[in-house]
Amino acid sequence: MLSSRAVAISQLVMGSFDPETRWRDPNLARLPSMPDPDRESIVLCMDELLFPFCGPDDVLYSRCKIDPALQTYLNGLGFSFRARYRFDLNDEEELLPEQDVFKRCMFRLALDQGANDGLADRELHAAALSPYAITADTAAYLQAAGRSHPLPDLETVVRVNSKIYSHRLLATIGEKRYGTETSSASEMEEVGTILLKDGPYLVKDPFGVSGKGNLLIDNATMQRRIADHLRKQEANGLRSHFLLEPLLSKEIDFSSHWFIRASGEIDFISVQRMMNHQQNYGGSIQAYETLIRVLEDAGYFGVMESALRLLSDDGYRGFVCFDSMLLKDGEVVPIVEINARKSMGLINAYVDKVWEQYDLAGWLTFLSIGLPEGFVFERLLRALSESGLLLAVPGGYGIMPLSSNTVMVNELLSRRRMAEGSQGRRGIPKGRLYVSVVGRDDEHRGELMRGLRQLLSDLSVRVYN
Amino acid sequence: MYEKIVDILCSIKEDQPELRQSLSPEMNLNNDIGLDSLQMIQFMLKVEEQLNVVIDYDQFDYEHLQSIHTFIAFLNRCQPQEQPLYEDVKQ
Repeated sequence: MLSSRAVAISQLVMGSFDPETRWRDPNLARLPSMPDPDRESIVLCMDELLFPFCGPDDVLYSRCKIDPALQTYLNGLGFSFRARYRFDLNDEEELLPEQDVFKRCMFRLALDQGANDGLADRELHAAALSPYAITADTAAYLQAAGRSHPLPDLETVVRVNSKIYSHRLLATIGEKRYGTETSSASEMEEVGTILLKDGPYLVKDPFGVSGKGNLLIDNATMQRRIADHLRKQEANGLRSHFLLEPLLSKEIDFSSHWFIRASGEIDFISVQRMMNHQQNYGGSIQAYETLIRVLEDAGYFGVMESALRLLSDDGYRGFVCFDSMLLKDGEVVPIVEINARKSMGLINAYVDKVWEQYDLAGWLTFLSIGLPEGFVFERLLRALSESGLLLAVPGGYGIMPLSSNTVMVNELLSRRRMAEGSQGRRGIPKGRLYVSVVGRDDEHRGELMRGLRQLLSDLSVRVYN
Repeated sequence: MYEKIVDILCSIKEDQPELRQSLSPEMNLNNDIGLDSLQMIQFMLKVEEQLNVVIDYDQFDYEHLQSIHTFIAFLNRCQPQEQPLYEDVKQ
């Protein structure tokens, strides 16, 4: 499952996009949530989005086989990488993985696969590991490879990724804090009642992620309902630990991206503007100079340096993303949360490294979609090409699809399960189409996205966002 | 109850003003309207609050979202909240 070019692999890029789920203490009480298996499968297939971190001699090791048409297309645009995968959902000869196997962390899957794959794995083990995020299975994978990589230990990674850590870090560096830590349902209700007097507030799980683990409370009834839900769990021995923050009057969401080297030296990578909707991630684009100047004037980069020094002192090495906000009154909130891992904004910054030589920048965004029966990924690529919307040549304008399995995974799983007889009805399999939109300006990018929506509608694909 | 649910859906999907016209009792809350996970939980909490019911999240199944009708039938089987939401509401 690895192309057989006899070239040493310099870097192995891989990881699981739901590390927060794996980092979270199982003894902590949870906010109410709706299990959504479709979403889970999509997130598990987001590892395809890591290709911008690869060079021609690097391997992207993904959960599912990247659609060959997409890989050929990406290679043609200057994104060269070698592909390795764990599952080929299109291969009907191969049994469908059990759900609990499919969900395993990518490092665990690689470890299992490595046991049956001697030669290719020796090649892989010699490569430097570039993880999306470090999980418990990363250490096991490295240990099996018999190599020591300069990666921080799991305990440090978990600690610095918690919202509680970033909340306390703000106090350490003398910055204003908006949040209040609460350690029980009663305390949450008590603090919440005070916050509600001034307006809605957010309850944040220490390891909550976009669209999961954060809740907006806007009235006492809802607050009581959440508190009851937590009390029920406390009665079963779980601990409540949440951060409560007033819903701030936000103008812009943005993130800054950094790298802490093994030596402790710090590299600045990028500032990305985030297009969020409510509490959900909606896309990233390189920040304009005007925003950078506002941040410089506000002393933002000095705060980042202090925070990065602390992260470094605490033993963290690797990529760091600070989520931040600019409020309507001009105030900068420097740290909303810390993501000590790779991130969507970072992926966009790395895609832009390829566009830079043409003096272009892309907008990374996605559409939540529902697929019609019989849909195949190649059909989308072909339709984009025929419509003239596809970014066809390096340095051109257009839409570049970034991943195939986030679009197709639920369609493929439901098609296969129905054939096996383990699923009765097809429903409408959900997917996410991640794209880089390269346009002259905001207006042109908007025009390209409208074109994409129309094209999807013509293909009988539903768009939900 | 249907109107209440439509109102809640429209407030959750505030960026889709055309939604109200397209809704019908047969619509699938998951496949036709496509609430994401955050919107789904906000929707459920609003339903609990405004329709005075308690939803057991541990037992909830996406089958109940097959249509707004199905969802209403499910809500009718849910236990009412212990306390009235408003002082003038009679249990």
